[in-house]
Amino acid sequence: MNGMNKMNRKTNYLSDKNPLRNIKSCLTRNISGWIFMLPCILGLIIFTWYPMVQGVYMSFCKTRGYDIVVFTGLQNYIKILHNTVFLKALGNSFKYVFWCFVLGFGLPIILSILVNEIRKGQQTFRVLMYLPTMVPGIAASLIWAIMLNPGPTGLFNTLLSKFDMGPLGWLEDAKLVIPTIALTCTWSGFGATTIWYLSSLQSIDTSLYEVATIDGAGFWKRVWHITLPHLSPMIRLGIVSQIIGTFSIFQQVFVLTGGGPNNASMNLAMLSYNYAFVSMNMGTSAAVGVIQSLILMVISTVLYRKTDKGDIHG
Amino acid sequence: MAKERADSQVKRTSIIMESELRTLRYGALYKGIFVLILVFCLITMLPVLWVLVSSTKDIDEFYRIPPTIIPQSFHPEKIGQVWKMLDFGKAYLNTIVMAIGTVFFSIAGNGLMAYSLSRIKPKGSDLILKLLFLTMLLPTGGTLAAKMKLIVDFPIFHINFINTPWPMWIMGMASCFTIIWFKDYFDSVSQSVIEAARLDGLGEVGIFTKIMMPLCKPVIFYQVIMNINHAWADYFWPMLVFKNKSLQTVMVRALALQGKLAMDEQLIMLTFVMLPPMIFFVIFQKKFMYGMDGGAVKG
Repeated sequence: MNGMNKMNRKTNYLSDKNPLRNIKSCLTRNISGWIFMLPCILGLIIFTWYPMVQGVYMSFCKTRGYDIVVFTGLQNYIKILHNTVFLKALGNSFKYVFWCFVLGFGLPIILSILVNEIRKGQQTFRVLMYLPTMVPGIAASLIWAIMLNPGPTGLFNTLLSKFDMGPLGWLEDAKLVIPTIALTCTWSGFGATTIWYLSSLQSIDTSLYEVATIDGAGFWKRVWHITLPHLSPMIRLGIVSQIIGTFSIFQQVFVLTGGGPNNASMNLAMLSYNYAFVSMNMGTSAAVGVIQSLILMVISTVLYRKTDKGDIHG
Repeated sequence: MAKERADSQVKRTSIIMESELRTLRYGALYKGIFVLILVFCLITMLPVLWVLVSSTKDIDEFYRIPPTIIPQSFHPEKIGQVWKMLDFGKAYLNTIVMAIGTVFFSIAGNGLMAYSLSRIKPKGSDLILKLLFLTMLLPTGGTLAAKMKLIVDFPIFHINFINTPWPMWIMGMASCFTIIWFKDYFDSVSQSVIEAARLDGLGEVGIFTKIMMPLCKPVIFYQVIMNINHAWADYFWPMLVFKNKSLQTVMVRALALQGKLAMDEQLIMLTFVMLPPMIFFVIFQKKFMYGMDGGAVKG
């Protein structure tokens, strides 16, 4: 595409006999091009590039309020690395990834394969599956907070009592809190992922199924030998984006527990927020954020290396 | 291409063959799959359904032991009372203003940027494109404090953006993913149409408004819908920026009221919060799915 564009432009210049007009049109083209980009570039500088640079610098400084007091080198980092809450938050960030993976990785794949079988009313099912994703995150978390009320009147405990199971602590149980939050994340996210896999299933070559059927392959054999291999590049990309996404979940933790009970559900994103807006310690907050970013970069580089890049972008 | 996809029906690519459906074994399997998905959908809809049906029940019923799951009382008049009490009309209005601004700035800012990167390609724009891809790879952790510092005291001009929607609008104006998304689409528009218009003496602005815009109606409409939806659900920066109660958006109000309301009032409030985007989605479902099917970010 790029090459063709250049060629076209060249023929334009050749066909035009007045060289002065050429220079002028080239100049206006460049100027209008940059004017078109200007608002967006300004936006990028203000709220993306400058904060990135400033954030890294801030993490090496002692701060008071929003102001930088003095450059202190690695002091913020040394301080947090000796902090038990930080170490716990670091571990918990990986626990979130683990539980979100356990609960939410296979589900959309299975659902998409099954929904793709439906002949009548498939669109209705698609809409029904996508609806939880459309509930705004804050509303979803507030609803979960009410339903997961640890008392006997909470909806979940009421349902459990129908099966003669005791009331659970859910979000107030230090052992249960991360899986429970992961469950709410899965609820909010599975619909979009299912639709995403479904769009890939639409491009499958159906003659493969016909051939397999003639060869006598049953339903599960067709899924195993045709459908899953077809989905595999999407699945690999799905794993990568899920891990990156769940490592830094914030909204659910923020609304449901705020990191409690006793930091049992604290992760790095929540800790960075707390340092910034609860204890007003911007330098430390930035340091936590930078560490989180570094870990994410390492994770994503390793994962992208492992997965075949050509397949992902295809 | 993308335009066709948006309107196309769902293609049939099912694993079970049409002929097999009539056999006993596959007929049963198909019915089993159907029932399984139906039950699953009902279970996942449970939280939403529960809020909708429970919100109008008697306050005493919430604290009855054993608790009721299917409500036994019905008080629709409470809906109007809570709406007035919480002044949600104001919050809706604030959110709509936020959304309109976000749509405008996002499409104008990102759209023009993508157009320039894709079609005009001024000198040095390839460097900007490389920077964009690099930015997408870099996580934004650690920028929290720096962004807040910009909002409370903007350098050089010393403007305080607290209680104004500008921070959200400027953030919306420059989104790497939206730029790349637009650029992908602009790249797919035939180059010869534009070259012909340029030879006819149409300026860059004219080409953008008279040729690109009409061609790109489906993507722009999709972006409008996505931005409205995003603006409705956005809470983080609005929460930190809108300190004044009369300026707060729906999400910020919902967060501020968490735990401060009686159970029935809280459920009614949650209905106000979640119903508009859900209705919006049901109306524009094809458009939402279009983004997933045809135009998803490939970069």
